[in-house]
Amino acid sequence: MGIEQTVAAASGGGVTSAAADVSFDQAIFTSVRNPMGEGYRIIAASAGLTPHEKQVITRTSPSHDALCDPSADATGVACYPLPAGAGAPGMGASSFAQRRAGDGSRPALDSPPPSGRICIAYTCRAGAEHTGRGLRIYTYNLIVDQDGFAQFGYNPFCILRAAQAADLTRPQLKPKQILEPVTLTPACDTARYGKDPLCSRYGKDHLCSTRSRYGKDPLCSSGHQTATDACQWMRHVLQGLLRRRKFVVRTEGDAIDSAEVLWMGLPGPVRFAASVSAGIRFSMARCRDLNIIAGDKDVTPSRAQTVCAPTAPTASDQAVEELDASRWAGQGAGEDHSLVGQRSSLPSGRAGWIDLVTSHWQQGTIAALADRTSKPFTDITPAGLDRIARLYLASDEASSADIPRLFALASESLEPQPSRLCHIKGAEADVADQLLSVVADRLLARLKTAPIDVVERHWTSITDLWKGAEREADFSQPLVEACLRRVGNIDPPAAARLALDVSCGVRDSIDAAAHESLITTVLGRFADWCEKASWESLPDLQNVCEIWQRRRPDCEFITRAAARCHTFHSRVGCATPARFNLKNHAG
Amino acid sequence: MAHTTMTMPSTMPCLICQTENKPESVVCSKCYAPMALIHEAVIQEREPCITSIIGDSNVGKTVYLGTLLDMLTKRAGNFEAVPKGAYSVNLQHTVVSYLSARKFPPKTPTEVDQWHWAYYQIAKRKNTRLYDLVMPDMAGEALAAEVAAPKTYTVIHNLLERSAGAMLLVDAAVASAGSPQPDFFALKLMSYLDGIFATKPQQRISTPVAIVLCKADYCPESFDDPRRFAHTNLNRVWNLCETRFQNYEFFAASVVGALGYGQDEEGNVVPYPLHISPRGILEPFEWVLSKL
Repeated sequence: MGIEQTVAAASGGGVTSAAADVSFDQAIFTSVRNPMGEGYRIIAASAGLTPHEKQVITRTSPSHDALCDPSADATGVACYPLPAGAGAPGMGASSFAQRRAGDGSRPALDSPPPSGRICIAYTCRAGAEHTGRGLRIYTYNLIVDQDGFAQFGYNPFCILRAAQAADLTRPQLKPKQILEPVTLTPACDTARYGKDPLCSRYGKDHLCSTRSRYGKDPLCSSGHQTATDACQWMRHVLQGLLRRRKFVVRTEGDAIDSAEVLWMGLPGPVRFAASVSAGIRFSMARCRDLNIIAGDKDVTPSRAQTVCAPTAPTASDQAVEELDASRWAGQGAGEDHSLVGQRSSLPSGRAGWIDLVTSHWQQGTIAALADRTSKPFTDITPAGLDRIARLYLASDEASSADIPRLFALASESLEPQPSRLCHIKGAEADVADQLLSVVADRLLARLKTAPIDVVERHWTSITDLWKGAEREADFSQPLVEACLRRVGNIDPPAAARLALDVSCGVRDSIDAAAHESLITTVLGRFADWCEKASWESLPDLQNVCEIWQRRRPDCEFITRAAARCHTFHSRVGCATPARFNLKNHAG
Repeated sequence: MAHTTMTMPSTMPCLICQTENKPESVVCSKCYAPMALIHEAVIQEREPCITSIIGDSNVGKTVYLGTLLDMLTKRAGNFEAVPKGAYSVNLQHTVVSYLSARKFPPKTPTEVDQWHWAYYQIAKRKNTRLYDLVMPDMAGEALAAEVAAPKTYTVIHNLLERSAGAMLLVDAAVASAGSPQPDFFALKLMSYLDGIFATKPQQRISTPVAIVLCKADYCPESFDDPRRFAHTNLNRVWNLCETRFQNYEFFAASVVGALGYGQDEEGNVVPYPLHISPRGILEPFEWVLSKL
């Protein structure tokens, strides 16, 4: 299986919603004989490619016999950063890796990504070599800048699916020497594809409990492996990738599918600076951060093989860890193999992020994972990732949390924390807003169906927020409205009592007219109720009426309700009820 | 009792590009040349002599070099050759195995770390002078890319810069058929060598370069007089050599005695070497050695 089977799903998770056309430069690297020479080289390219970019593509593109699968319809993919304009030779993916942190444990993601572009390569076979020595390897390259890459959710696989849908990857052995740039549109219309394509491809059921339509499951690379086993080796690899380690992963499943599922575990901006290949034989000369190979028994480096960084002061071993996914049983002593819920040995930032990703892998919600990780986060330090992961995990928790927990989550999210807020911007702020929105929705849903006494019990929490800062007031206003409407429909006197808390001090950001209308409605119902109520029901309400009268002496509804209560008291002369504490509303 | 402690340096320079690498590194972090080369050089305590085999893609570099090494280890021409490290034997092993099975060896990949490197200690018998020769089997495509855009493959640039001699392989069969391609590619390579070897602008290059007319069995006249053949069919290279190079010579060579053509299971035409008949393999090498 390769990209071919996914053409129909020309979109993927993580594509930004405001998708615009993205322009790509192209390059074709293959072996043909023409008047200018023969052998593997760039036979056609867009004029926009710089000499340095061509050098890197030439140096790292797969050549003879480089595909793992020996069959004629084998495919491979790669994605790697290209150097900025004046980059020195050797500034490709591998040397980017070399520029990384000196010690293997340094936080991986705090260095800025390279300022160049990124190359997304699709490799296949294209007939027999003209020399008669084996089959020709053909690589189609798309080159795009960071903005364009972000438009596609930092998902190279998504770009390749779009290219394939546009029939760009079909081998051309006699192309024009200068290729025009191509335009691709990130499609994220889930309605068009019925459901999220990644969901349908990598849904939970698909992972292990059923045999997939691809013969083997992307995560479960061997028949006996469970989803948990698969998650364990993927978790191990993700931990390593976040620590800037390199991996050669041998899988018996589909290399490209496995690579995509794993790659979606990395934060989007990191994917712009990191490199991946799948289905292509390992070579030190194009050692990617993640190399996934399949069905290839003799081409990986030994476990101990290392390459060293070039200069002494920052010299470090760039160990390439070889991992056999089908035989993974927690190799790598000292590594954290715990899954979500168990304590991770990693620093909190990575642990939070990895727990988040692992939970998605376990649930098979890869599309949701891609959507979450593919945003243009600006702070991708471990601390930043920890914050983002906590927001997402809180969002997940909100869907099943009870009302007190939801209020706790709301307070936590709304609490002003200067040190934290200074980092929250851009996509992360959107995630925070999304969390608040989820919490608000869940609270609304719960309170709308909760018994009156439950609403009354939590009313203080709501009004505390309502009286707080503007953001808190904005958050609580829909709750106020929902609660007052719900209580007003069932118990108008209770609603009138509750409304006292929100009858004055309306924040500027709240629609005062709408709020006043709501209060008026509550009071109108209260007045109507008083007129129809039996005498036995009225004794408790005199104090409420008195408070409202002090606040709104001219309100017709209060006057009506107060008159009814007054009549009752003058006839019966009953004492002030203790049910409602006047002190709370004296002002 | 005296004790001697062998201390390993914390870093070792790559033999080709001089980049400092950790001693346990398998390949150089910059140019991907095998670090075993420098380990052998340290053991020998002699500066190795690099001889580069260059030429276009599909010209026959792998077959030529593999056959040459095999002949040397079989003491052809009264040579004695000792491979320094088992990796040095891989190339001749591959070539001989494939040719024995009546197949051509696979194309050399463009990935540098996939190239075969040979480190041999070579001497004429009864001759005291030993040569530590390092000969990589480079991919023609990589050479073409480096010539077209210098420093695409820094390893090639560094390798040629450190080469004591070079053998340029040209497809004589194609050239004799009237194609200008071999002449042009050889011209580019010689021009590239000129740029690398030149010490002073007006001074001719003294580094020996043997121009080997490969697949000469297709054009037997090249064996009779390689110079005349080159003058006629590779005139551009001939002229550049005359102008810029002091030590150059033309040789004709062939490995395969006869070719047969067949089809693979998909109908592709595949050439099969029917029998091996090395001719003119040692001469260019011997000439280069004599000029070192």
